[in-house]
Amino acid sequence: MTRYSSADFGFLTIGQYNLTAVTTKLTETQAREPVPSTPYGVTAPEFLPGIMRSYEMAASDGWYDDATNSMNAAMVDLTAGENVMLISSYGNSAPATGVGKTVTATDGVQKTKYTRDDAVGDYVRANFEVVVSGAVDINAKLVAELVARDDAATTAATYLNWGADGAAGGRMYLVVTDITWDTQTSLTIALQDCNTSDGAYADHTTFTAIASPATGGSEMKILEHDAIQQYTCATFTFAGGAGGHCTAAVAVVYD
Amino acid sequence: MSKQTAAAGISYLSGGEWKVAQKGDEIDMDDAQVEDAAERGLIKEAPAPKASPPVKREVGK
Repeated sequence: MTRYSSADFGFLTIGQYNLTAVTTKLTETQAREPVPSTPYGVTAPEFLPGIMRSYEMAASDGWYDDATNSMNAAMVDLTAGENVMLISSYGNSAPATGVGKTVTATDGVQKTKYTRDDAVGDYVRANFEVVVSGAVDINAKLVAELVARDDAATTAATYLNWGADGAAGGRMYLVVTDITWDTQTSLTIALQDCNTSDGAYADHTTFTAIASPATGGSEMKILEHDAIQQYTCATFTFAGGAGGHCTAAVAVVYD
Repeated sequence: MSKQTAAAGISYLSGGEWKVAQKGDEIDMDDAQVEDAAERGLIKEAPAPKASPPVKREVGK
């Protein structure tokens, strides 16, 4: 049995915000509350399996951080409504060993609570709670780990091998936690697939382009074709000028 | 390695290094990938460069 420790934690992002460095404890809950169904004439209690009620996550004992794209910005500036969340919670995901690791991914995160604790003689702490409206992909896999990438970068050298072709579509998730534009004007990130690991990879589905001066972004996109080949990689292409780079991760799940 | 034109957005090997091309880009692709990429319609052979027009020389001037 493989045991994982906190040092094996990969990353936690909500929206475009990377909360890994300011989070010290996470509790994920998937609630399927049992429905009492004991009829007359039966002595032992009986239950029906309940429907999945909610997916909740709470972070406690985290650190308050007012840096751009950190805890405070995430909880204050995060778009109202539903957002993308990626949790690479075990099996170290950085830097190069992360491709293929399982990721929990969803685009239904809603922030519900943000708490700051100011206590004499202690550092300022920050805690948050979120719920997920809709489905959670608990078996998505990383195509590109969360590291810095330059213009015209590809992860084809560290491709994801899903194990078999897909025929029923799926979803892909993107988080961009940091962008330096220099003189460049837009960033396009695409998922590519191939039938062999060392062949040429071709565009399969492309995320919505991110335009300057955005400082990051996140998106879930349904794969544009039901058929997807076994091997995938991601490409990162800036338009205009030169000097752009970004910190981004891409995950995919085949249905 | 041979000169090709990308018929789609692709990741490909050039001199053993992975590179990215957009549709219409002229690329130098490693030979090991050319046949398969051509069969899958990802590349088309780059057109040969046009010959330069002959230079007229007038003698005596």
